[in-house]
Amino acid sequence: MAKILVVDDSEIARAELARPLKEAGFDITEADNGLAALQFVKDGKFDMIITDVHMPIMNGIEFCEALRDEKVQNVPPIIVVSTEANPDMKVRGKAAGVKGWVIKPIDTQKLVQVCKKLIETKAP
Amino acid sequence: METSEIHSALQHVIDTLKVASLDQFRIYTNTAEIALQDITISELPFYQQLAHILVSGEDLELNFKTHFMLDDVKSYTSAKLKSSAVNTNQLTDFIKEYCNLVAGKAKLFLEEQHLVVGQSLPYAIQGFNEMFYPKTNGYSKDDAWELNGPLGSIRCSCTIRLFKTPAAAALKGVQYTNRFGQESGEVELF
Repeated sequence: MAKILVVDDSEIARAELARPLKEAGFDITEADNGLAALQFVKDGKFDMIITDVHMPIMNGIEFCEALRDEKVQNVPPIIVVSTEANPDMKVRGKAAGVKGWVIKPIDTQKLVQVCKKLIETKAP
Repeated sequence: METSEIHSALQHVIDTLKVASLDQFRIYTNTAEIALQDITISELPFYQQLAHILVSGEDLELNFKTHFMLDDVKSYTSAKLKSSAVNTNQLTDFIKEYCNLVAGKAKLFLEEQHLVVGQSLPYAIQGFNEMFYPKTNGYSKDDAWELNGPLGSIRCSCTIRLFKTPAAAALKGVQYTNRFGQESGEVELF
């Protein structure tokens, strides 16, 4: 079963993302900030990461940059799901390895399809 | 620019924010039957909870607040979580995330006018309308409105302060396009 790490400081937002992904058969782990997510990625193996940008302690872009700068192994595809639409932030995200960006509110079924596609593409 | 023109520009931003707040609440709660009704600032202090988010930059700051009773957001939160048992943290989280959505749209429509702004994290507190921060110099405008839905109502208010008057010209151009009932945004793949 493919594992997805969902990172958002809002429990409501995490639940909204996690529910359709669980229904689609994914194993979901949740983190409420970038620092907690960073530890999860160092400790475990994920097939995909979905992260918000605006979070306390460590934001989503800083989290992606930490994965890159700390040369964390086996970083899976990352999708940002956020209210943030600033082009400069997208450039920073892309430079840190973000593969996709979607602005809230989102169509969760479309997101599920994209997750399936990215995970299949990544699979050997 | 004349003072009246500056106030008109600030009111235009608030009116745009009102449209965005209504549209985002409809999308967030998936409820078409939500209507906006203007109220006065003096009608605000009787609500149990307050959530606040700030969008600000060198030119201006925009404070968006939501005033609500926990019971009024219970049904919306239950529907969102697909659970009848919701706690106070989940109720306030529901409104904080709503503030985040509205602030994101405000940040976007200001950035489209080349105004550089950032947005804070939302927070919620128990209590009345008054926020204890120092009043800054510059032009300002307040407004309040209510969003009435079949499952409950919330009240919103906004204070906008302009620090640099040349930015008022850009504010006249802000706009928001309703998204309720439209296709949600696609995932932009890099």
